[in-house]
Amino acid sequence: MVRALRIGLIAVTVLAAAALVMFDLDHPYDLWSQLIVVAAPLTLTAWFVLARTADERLVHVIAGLGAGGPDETVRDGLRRALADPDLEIVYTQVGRGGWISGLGEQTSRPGLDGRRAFTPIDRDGKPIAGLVHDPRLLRHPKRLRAAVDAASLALDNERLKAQLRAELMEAQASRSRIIDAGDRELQRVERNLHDGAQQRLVGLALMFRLASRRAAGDPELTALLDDAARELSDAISELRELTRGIHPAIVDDAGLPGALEALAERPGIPVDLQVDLHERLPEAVEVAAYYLIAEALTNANKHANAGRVTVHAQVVNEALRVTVSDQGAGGAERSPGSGLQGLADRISALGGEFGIDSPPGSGTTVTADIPLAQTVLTDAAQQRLVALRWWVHEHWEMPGEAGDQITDEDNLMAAKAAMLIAGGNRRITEREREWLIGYHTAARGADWVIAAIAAYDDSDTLDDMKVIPGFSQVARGEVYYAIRLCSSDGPLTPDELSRLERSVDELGIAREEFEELLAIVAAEDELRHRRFNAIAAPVLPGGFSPSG
Amino acid sequence: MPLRIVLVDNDPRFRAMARRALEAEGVEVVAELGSGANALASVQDWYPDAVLVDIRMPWIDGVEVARRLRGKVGKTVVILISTLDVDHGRLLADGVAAGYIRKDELSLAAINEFLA
Repeated sequence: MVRALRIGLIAVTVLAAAALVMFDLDHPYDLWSQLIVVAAPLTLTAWFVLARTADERLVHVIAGLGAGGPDETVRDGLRRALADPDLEIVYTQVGRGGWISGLGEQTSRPGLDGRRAFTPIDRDGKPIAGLVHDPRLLRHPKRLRAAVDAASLALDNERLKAQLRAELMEAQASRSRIIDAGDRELQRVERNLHDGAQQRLVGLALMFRLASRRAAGDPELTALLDDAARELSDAISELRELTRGIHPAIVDDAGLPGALEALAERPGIPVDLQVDLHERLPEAVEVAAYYLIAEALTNANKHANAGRVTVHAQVVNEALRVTVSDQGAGGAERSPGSGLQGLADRISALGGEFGIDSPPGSGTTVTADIPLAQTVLTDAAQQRLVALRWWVHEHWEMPGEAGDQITDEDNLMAAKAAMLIAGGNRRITEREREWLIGYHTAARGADWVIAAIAAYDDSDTLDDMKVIPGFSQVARGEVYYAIRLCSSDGPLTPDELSRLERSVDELGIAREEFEELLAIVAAEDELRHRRFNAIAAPVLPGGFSPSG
Repeated sequence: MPLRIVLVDNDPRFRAMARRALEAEGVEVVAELGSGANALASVQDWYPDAVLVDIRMPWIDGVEVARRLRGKVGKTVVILISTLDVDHGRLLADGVAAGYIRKDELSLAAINEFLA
């Protein structure tokens, strides 16, 4: 209609120009009546012709749906037919509800902002898709209906495609999540071995040296102790090898270039290292590349019989490209269950590509391209997750990925902070400490964290805590936690209250906020008692009452 | 005069063991500190010849301690210690500390190597 009016207007302008040439001053209104008489039918004719062409276009497009080229989609057809270049089709997701775009991405139900209109496409009374279109199309209900009817016939195919894309994306994301969760778990195991067994063995090694020195006058005993020390030293080395295989901590600490340097310096065939990386890459990418290069170097050492190995690592087109090549015997292949196959799987889970070219007698080249666009948590996100630890403790339905972000150190920090806010470990009672240990045991705290809580010697101050990244975000939670700690052996004593108040001031938390936290703990206590009375008390022997 | 050192490690059991081993060699362990924050706050108070700092400590790790102590502790030599590989430890010590000693090789001789 707009185009029809525009054509009408042009016609009127042309007529007006013609009329001006022949303007008759004696009959001024004749010009206008002539203009109207001529222009009105012209406008109407233009509108009719254009409307017809639009409808015809629609018929053509719909007739041709599915017959177009591979890129011709229902959406493109409808965009042309309805002259709405921004038209989108969204699909309901089978089995899960919600809407997905044609590319398979999750999307909210559109059209709620008023700028776009939403017309559902139903099948057997249930919405299967919807058009997100220009609201002006609502003025042509017939055309819209025709478009919807015709499109719905061709939509099933498109909808299945969108569904498939959504499932692929979900599978891809879940593979990355599995790899990530596995890495985190291995990192934790490595850390625990390092902080636990390795540290104990090292202490033992020092003790042997001490004993050997004391036994200086007794050659037989000295020899025995030295033998034992050597055995122990071998055990420590083996354990170190093992922990390195579990998680390459050197990548966390020194970045990929540093870690590769250390790898290249290990005994074996000489490595020509050509690393062109200037900033840290996402952890998952660095770890995958490190594992790949380490495995390729091990293979080259074992089987290639080569004089040197060349390692390249650089960023090309938003991906880390890694190449390990030698001029050795060749003939390497990735068999199921082999180290290389495992690495190929890891790289493909990160959306990357892995290749091996190893013709017999002509050397081996292993290549990988790992996209850098992994979901990397920013510092802010990390801090937010530290803050979320409170939710984890109180809401056990927390998704595992979020819970996994909370480290043992975070838990220990929380416990220490609570003790310090309560006035320091020396000031809390035995019953209160037991509560704290129980709390962390229930929250599946690591053994070393529990041991550190039990042995805590007030070696930090609240000022130390305040400088920890993210602490300000959990400070209120810590105060709440400290109030619960102090209340675990009965109501707060005046001394406990005044120590809490002092800590709250030190943390810069307002007294009103503190009062609110006190009230929350009191209300929760009340609720716990009610719950106990309703659930447990009726089935317990008389006279039993809850404590704490 | 015996060598004066400060030992920084969050593991009290290791600290105790290292103290015994070093003292048996005539080293004077003037202080044991349990965290990076404590080390930053009080190392200067002891005027040690060397500070042995564990690399892996929660929050403020040994590398960070060494970095922040640089140029602030006069002639005191900062040495990183850990159970990590020697190549890994040296990489971390590079540019921030005088050197790295593996904990199971901790001795007067090893410390002396890094003292002028």
